[in-house]
Amino acid sequence: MADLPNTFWSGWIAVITIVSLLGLVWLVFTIYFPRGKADQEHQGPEPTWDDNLREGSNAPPLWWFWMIFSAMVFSVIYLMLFPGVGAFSGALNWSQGSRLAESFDDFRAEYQASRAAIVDAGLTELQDDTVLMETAEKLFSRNCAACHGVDGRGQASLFPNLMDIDWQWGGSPDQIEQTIRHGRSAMMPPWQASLGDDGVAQVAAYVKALSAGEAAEGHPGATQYGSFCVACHGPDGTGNPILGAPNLSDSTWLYGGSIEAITETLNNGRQGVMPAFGERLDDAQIKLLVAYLAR
Amino acid sequence: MNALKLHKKLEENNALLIFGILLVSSLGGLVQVLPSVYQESLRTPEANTRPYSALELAGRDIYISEGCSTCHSQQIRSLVAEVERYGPYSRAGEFVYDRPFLWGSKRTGPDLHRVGGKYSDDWHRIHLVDPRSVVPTSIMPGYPWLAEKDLRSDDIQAKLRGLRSLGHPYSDEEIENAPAQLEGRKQIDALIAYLQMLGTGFVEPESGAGDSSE
Amino acid sequence: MSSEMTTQPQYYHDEIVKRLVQFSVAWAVLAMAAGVFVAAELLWPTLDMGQPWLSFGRLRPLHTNGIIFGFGVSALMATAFYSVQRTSHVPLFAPKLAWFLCYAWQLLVLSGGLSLLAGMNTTKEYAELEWPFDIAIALLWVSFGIVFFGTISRRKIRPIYISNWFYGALIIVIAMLHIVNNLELPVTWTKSYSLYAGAQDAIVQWWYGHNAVGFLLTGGFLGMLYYFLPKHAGRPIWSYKLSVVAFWAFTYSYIWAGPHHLHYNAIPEWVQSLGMVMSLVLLAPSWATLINGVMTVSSAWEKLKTDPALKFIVLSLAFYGLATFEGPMMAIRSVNVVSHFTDWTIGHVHSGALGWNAMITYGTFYYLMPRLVGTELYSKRLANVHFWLALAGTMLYIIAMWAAGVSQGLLWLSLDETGELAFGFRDIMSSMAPYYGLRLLAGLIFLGGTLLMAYNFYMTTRSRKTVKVEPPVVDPAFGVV
Repeated sequence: MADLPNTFWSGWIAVITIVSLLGLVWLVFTIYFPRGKADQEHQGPEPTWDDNLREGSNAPPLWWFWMIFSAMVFSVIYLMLFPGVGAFSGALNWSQGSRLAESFDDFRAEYQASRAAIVDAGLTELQDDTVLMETAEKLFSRNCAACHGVDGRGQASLFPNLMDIDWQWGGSPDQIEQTIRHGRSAMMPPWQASLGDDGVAQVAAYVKALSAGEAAEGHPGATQYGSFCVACHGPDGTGNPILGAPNLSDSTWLYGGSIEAITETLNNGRQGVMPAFGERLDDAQIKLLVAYLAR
Repeated sequence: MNALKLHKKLEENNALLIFGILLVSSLGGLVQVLPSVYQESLRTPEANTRPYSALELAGRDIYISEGCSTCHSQQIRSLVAEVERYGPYSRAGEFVYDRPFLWGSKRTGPDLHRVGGKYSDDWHRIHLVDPRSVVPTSIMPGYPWLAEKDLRSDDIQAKLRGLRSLGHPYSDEEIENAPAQLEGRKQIDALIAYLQMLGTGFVEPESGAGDSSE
Repeated sequence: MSSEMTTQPQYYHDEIVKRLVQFSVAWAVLAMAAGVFVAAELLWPTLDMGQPWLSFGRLRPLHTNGIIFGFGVSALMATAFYSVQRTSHVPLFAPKLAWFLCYAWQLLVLSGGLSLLAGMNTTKEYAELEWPFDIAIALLWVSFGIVFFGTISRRKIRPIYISNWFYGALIIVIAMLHIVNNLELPVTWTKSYSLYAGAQDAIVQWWYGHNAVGFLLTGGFLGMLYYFLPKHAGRPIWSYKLSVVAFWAFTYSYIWAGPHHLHYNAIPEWVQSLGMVMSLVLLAPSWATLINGVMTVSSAWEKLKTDPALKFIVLSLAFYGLATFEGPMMAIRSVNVVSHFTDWTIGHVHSGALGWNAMITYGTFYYLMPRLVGTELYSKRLANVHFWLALAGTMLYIIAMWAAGVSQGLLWLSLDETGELAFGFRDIMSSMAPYYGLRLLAGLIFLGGTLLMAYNFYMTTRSRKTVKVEPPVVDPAFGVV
């Protein structure tokens, strides 16, 4: 629906617009086609300013008249077809909203079938379709690359690598879709206050050892790991994709695997956020991304 | 009556000439600007549009101060490609608390009207300080000073009171508590808070992406 | 009475004109250098070296404000003061106020520019300066009006010459636009909030923004054209009648054109439509002046061969015709879909600002400076080199930006065969680098020419006094009764 002014302002707009346009017509007409002969622009001698500055008496060219005439005819026709003169919505009943709705109707008519087909298709079928995978790559580049990198390998020691086998929130197609659609919020609390500097150092060393597969029973960090970390990351450090708790027993590190980085993680915690894309992408787009990522 | 004769009168009389120019040049504004100022639909917020919180407002003022709008628009036009790229097109009612408006005139960078929630806070923090660390081909300037400079909290009450006098519904409590919201924070925190709420004042009616049936 | 006149000769106040021209040239160099720098930042984004005041978002408004208010307005004041005295046959009214205005304006532009670097910015384009500056601008603008219209009131010749209609419209309309658009509520010394919000603010701002272009960069400089072109060509302005139609149709229709900056934006459709049709009507009065200018000079072509000043003015007419044609085309809804938000707009602005405003100003200054000090131009050859640099720079600039803008606009809108956006924003942005490189080169070339001019003027006026000129006697048939 077009956004139109109320009655008073509509009249105001219409009257001033029409009257002033008629005024413009009057200006052009009476100068181009004066009535009577008394209309020589300078009766008698012509004024001269500043030594030699004068106003010539050439008649304005007729083609210019046709130029402004056609511009005004166009204007009148346009204002009869489109909203412009106050609350008159124009013969075409055009509005930005209706135009967009029509465009989307066309859009759907053209692409709905193919998009529905994508939603219904099996993942391997999509993955084997090179054209669709190119589309998926474009979607990834447009929506995901700013964080996960153009190559999807993660970056900034904050955004996970999506091209490896390690999935913080689970790598099944359903889990990936869940991640894309609704987003994820990880919640690794800061442990500085509970563990103290020594505790943090011990746990960091233990976790580092876990990753190298060298964690021994009697490791000084093991006890603290057992009381603070085990609930999420599990006794063997394999993590829990339901909580987004990463696997600590492999060699993949989201926030960095050096002792410094692990210490930082333990001290201040980590709150990795994956935004939800359910509102930004449609079902077909999400499906394509899932197929692309689950390869 | 003849336009040339009338003009002759004006060009020989200073005051008449001034008056004539003023009259003729004011018509466009009287038609286009004045009724718009009274048009209710341009002053009515969308259902989910709310005034900026103190922190968001401070962030918005940083956005203004740094001239972000020289490169980023905040206006999604009602065109299929824009809706596909950026989300539902911008509604007038979403901007009723925007003083000034920040629609911009140039997209050197992408439109930001619906950037809220698209990236995590962490991403914004890294990206604002050094854009090329996450977007290698970016030509956006870095804003390292935003992460270093403390957020001013001494002027926020004056700002909120000023906006309240212009009709933004801030309560006494909100104004009272505003400085506390800002204290101890860096400028970048406010800017991120603002970016994250951008475009959230509009909720799509139930139907496909960007559908516009109103 | 007449014996008093002869014993106390009155001279035109041309010293003010000379000073304003010098300031204008200085601003041209500074503001164009700022433009070149921000153009380079779009290629090498770390050029700001982490300094807030060198950041693109702060320097870009400095560039535009420096050009419009520093270079442009100083040039307009200089030429308005020069021509209004000569077309009224009296020295300036209130010369002390004029001197005050001359310096206070420079101080204003300088301090305003520094405030932008410090991050004081309302973001409303060409009205970025904060409220204390807005008040100062309004006051100084009123002084401009007093000096100008005061001079006209005391004129010795009855009809007011064409150029003064345009300068008059510049003063009156800019005052109206400036005051209405900058209504704002100060909350601190450095910060204010607009009285209008959102969509309403947008409509008010583009009513202002477009007409700052209309009445300052177009109307004001048309005043320059209507005086200096016929004067320099030594021919009468071709058609008085056409001037009358052009002036009133221009003053009427320009002011409606603003909403074409907001096609498909969140403002009512009726406002956009009116803005669009009036933009098309506007083509006619714009070209009326083009015809007038071309026909005036058409009987003096031979002068073009030898006179760099006239060459600049004639070339400016060509770009004026181009830009005033391109503008209405870009105002058409369906064209605007492609051009809006792209570098095409930047190209369009520069075909006006470089091709029209700067060129006509350069031509006028080349005419003025030697005459003001009563000598020949120091080097005609340098001026000719400047001419070619200016032409090459402008052409390169607008071609680069046109190519960049059109491809940007089309790529943003294009969908692939599955209905997906064909190109990501980042990829389109990255593909702009060659165009941005050409634009930088274009800017450097143009700036280089401007520097040559500054040097030429320095050598021309160095240690020379401003010539004293007495108003000529007016033909009693046209004298003020």
